[in-house]
Amino acid sequence: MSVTLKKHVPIGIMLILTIVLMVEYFFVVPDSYIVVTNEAKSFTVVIAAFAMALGAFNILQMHGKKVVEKKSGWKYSAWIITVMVIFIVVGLVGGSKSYWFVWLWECLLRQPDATSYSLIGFVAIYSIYMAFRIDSREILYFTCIWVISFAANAPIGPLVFPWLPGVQGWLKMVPNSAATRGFYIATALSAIVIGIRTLIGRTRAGME
Amino acid sequence: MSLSDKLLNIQEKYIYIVLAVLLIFPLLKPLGLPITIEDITYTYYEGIEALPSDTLILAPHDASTGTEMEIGLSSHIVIKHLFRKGFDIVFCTICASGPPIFFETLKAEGLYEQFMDDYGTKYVYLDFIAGEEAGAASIAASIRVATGGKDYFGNDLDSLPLMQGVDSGGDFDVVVATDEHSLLSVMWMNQVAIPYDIPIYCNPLAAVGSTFWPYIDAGQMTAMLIGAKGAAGYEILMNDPGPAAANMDAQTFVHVYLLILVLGANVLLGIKKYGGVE
Repeated sequence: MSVTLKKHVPIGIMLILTIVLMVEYFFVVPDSYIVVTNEAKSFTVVIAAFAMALGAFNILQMHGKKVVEKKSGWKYSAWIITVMVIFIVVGLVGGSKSYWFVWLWECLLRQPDATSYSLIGFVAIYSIYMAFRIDSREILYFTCIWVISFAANAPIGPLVFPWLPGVQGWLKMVPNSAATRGFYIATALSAIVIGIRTLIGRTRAGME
Repeated sequence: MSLSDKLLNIQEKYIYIVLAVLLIFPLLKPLGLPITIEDITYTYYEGIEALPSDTLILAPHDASTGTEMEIGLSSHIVIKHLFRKGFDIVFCTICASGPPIFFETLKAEGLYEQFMDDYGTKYVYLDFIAGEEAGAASIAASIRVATGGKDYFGNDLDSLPLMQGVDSGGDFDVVVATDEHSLLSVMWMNQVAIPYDIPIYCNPLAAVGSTFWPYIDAGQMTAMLIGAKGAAGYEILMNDPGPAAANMDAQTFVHVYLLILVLGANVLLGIKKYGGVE
């Protein structure tokens, strides 16, 4: 594939769409312009839907190879492919509102997912117990703040120690907000820099 | 190995067994321990309560199977409140698991019949829109373009009385993101609430609630219900104690248990280090 098709065309499309959408976000534009941007946004929804199909294909390709070559853990890969195929077939035949699709979703996805998520709570508690051993000044600060926040979050905490919500409120609104804002601003600036680098062809991470 | 060493290196299975007992016992035999209601929960409840009944609400219900156990509690009680107040509501989701969980929520709260009876006049469900933030941006720009002009049931949106003259984010009075996926509500804030300057109410996981405070502080987010505790407070404010309030005994037990574990371990460490005790 030529460099023009592989590099310049995608960058050109991205550049045009980025400018068009940014102008609409930051300026008052005529209705005819909004019609164009709305169409561009609807393309995103369509592309995202296609990305799901692409994801399914990737799973098939990656795990299929593992199964064929009988690599370590190939049985799990076979199970993933089996479940995916069952879901796709049942969904295509009966539709996503059919009894069998809902049953599959409920029994094969929802309950195990909820269970695995809930188990994180158990692991988190043991991890906190092991991690919060005060052997440095940093861990001392961290543990003190954790104890205050955790005790204030306990439903009964503020009734036992009425001063807790005040301290926790200050922690949330002052140091926490300041640090979180810093994090958000740094992330946003990084995203802008990556966006500009991608648009001028200096980074190809998002296009490979 | 000394006793303090044994306690400090206790096998995780014993921690889990005690934890399981502390979780199960209050669920089987509720003690009715008192619950405190956070100020932000009052703000949320009073904000919704103060809205006039003809308010048009955009309610993204971005339900996820993993986090449903926690945030599902708040989305259930909030949806119940919205129905009780008789608002006009357009539901939608940018989360693939949203539709089945949404209808289960309605059935669990006994609202499904009301939803179907008044469908099209007071309630509409737009279905899942792919693309996460791009999907939210698409709905904010034009619902008809984003959905292809059809709702979840395949009805033409133009045939539904509620959708007459409603197409973009600016046509709504309020966004109530009855979200079970935490970060998705930030996307609704970015794409609908801030550009169209309308209030937004969110339900984050307790674990990420702290990251939402800057938005509250800046006025970009109106209020939030944080985790199961927020839901429990909301149930009490609605005079409708339910599963969230019932879970608070277990939550209190586990919080106290973990505090005892951490503080106890550090006291033992301190004794070992400074007291010379083996």
